[in-house]
Amino acid sequence: MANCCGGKNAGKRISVSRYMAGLCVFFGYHGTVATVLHAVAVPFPNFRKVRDFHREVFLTEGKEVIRREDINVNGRLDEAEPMDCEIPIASSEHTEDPHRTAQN
Amino acid sequence: MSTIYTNDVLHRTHSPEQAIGPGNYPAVRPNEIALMFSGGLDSTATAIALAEKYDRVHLVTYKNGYGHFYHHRTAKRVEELNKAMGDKFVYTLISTKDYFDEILVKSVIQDYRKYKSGFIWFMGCKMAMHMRSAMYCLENGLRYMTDGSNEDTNEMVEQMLISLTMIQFFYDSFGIHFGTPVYEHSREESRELIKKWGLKMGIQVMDRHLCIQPTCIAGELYYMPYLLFNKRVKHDEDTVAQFIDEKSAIANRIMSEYFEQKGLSLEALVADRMQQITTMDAVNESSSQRAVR
Repeated sequence: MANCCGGKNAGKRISVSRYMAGLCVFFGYHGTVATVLHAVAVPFPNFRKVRDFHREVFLTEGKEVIRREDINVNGRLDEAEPMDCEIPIASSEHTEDPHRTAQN
Repeated sequence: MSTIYTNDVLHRTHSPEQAIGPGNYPAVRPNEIALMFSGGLDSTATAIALAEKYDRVHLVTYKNGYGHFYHHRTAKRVEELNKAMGDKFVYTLISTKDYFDEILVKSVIQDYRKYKSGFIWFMGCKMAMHMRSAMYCLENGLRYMTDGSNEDTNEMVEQMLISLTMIQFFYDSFGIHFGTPVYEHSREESRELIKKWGLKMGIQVMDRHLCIQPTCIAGELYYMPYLLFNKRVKHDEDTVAQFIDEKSAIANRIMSEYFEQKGLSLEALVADRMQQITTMDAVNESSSQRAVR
């Protein structure tokens, strides 16, 4: 599975124990933040939008993580077709951009 | 009722040197530069590199008001830098909450349904920071703005090449040159540079250095699947470009309102600045031609 433009480590193999430990951290952290946001949004209505946004992101990401979408547990995606990349992967030629060095 | 934007500075280590007002525009200072600074590895390496070339480096840090904590770490890093490099740095901590609310938070649910990814939070936050940085440069007569973006961390939406390029165009429209001086430096080079100056490295966990910069809870949540599971991040270039384009219009409006509240016209301020830069460049060019002869 190619890492393409999803980050340099995207699609790299992880072990089952790392996946399981990751699930605990993922749901533990998101669950705590969801609880805090629900509590905070009661006295501070400004936080309602943030709470609702977090809930949508959490539900979407949580489902994907459980379904192991794009997660290469024990090399199960090693044989899969490389991900389509809509843009060419940045090479050294692409990095010749003027924004690189302000001081030059 | 429109938001009052002009009272957003939370802390500064220096008094503002140039009072601006109607008809009183800041003088452009070519030997000074601004850096969006967190105190982390990349921005500290950038600060050191800039201090070797410029008389004064303006370090600017932002607080977005939503799970963004431990800014005292940045202030400590500034103290360290000033001690090590001889008071070359001035530091300002600014709240971007009102700008961030306007650019993203007020429409976050609609934006999420439209762009279908949590990247909008970070890009919206970063745009508020860049917009305020542009305002800082205009107020202080600075020609150059920089940040510590690095190719090694280009999975982060705000450090993608497309984001940096579009942000550069945004600054250009106000006569500000935006650069990322350590973009091609390896993390190891930055580590060596920081060690050389005897600055704190924090607690190293894999490639990350903890406890030397502010924490962003939202950032940790969004990048968690990538860091924990090597799951690809969900932002492609077209979508990010569309988002930046849409939000740049809001940023432009906020900038105009900000300067209006100070009794200034943004257009007049930029025009005066462009005039100064043209004159300055012409003088520099003729003196360099004389030196060649």
